[in-house]
Amino acid sequence: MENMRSLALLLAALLPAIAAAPPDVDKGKALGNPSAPIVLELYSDYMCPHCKHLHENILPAIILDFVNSGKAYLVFREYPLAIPQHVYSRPASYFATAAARIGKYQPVADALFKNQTSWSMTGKLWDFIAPVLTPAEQKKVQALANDPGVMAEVQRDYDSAQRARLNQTPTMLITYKGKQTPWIYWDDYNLFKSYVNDLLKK
Amino acid sequence: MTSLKSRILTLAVWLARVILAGVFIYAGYIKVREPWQLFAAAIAGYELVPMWAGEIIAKVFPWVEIAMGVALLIGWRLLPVASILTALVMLFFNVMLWRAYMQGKQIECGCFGPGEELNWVTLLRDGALLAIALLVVWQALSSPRKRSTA
Repeated sequence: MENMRSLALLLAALLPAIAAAPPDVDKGKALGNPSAPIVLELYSDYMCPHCKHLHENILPAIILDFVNSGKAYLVFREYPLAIPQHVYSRPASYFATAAARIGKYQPVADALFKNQTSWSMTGKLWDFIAPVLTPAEQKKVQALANDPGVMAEVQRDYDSAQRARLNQTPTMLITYKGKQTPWIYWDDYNLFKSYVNDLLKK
Repeated sequence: MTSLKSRILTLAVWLARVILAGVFIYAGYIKVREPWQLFAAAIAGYELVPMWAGEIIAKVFPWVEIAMGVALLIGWRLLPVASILTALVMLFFNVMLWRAYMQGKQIECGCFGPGEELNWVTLLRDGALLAIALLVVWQALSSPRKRSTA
């Protein structure tokens, strides 16, 4: 009887952990209610053209349909692909994560994606990041981009993507009732929308 | 000696039939268990049919896979038709997988539910399943003839 009670207490303690957001979320890189039933973790690479398309054309719809309505908690994850063509992806991730530390993740991420074709050629990321920050913020972001904590956070995201065996960007890792499913098909947003809505009915 | 060879062959073909049936029932079950949109997304990755057709296939095809698997398992009069259908489906899968692979598509196979990447392992596995399906077809079509000449 005592064992049963202990088991029940353990299960009760675990349930919120299953329903709630993952523990290592950078609050500066998340949108919505952390206790929303669905967690959407978006793994992106700032040099990936499909990620740019998703960020600029599909993400606003996801935020409108699922985040603003309280159905999903959206977490932005760094996944700078380790391929020669994406040589500036990791520095871009460092800047974005550094910006998140001062609450400026969205404007910096927007600037990086908006000007992707330019800085991808030259590597001059800062030319496009600086204009969306004040001089004081610029100093902080430049310092934080070299901070070991920021670098470790990017590496943690990268490692979590590898553990989840994600092999391309953009991938949305959908967590619902403890089950994780990667979503990689973005040519038809309605299919994603229908999938997430059906999940919520379960 | 000939009888022993014949028995081994019969056993091998029976085993091939059971494996194929199991694979089809499992593949269908995995897809039916998951929301249909995941299979529809995998189908869309192949860029072969329009989305509306992909959605219909995603909803119907898993049940067809289960039915084909059951028909293969039951055998009897269903066997020739079921085995030919299975072989045709396997042939179609192989053509599609190779086409996507040669085009360098980084997509999900869609064979056994979500999260399975299309790679050389998938190609090898589906090639082996096609070979097994052809073996079952050969047995299904040759058995009645053998019986009638005996």
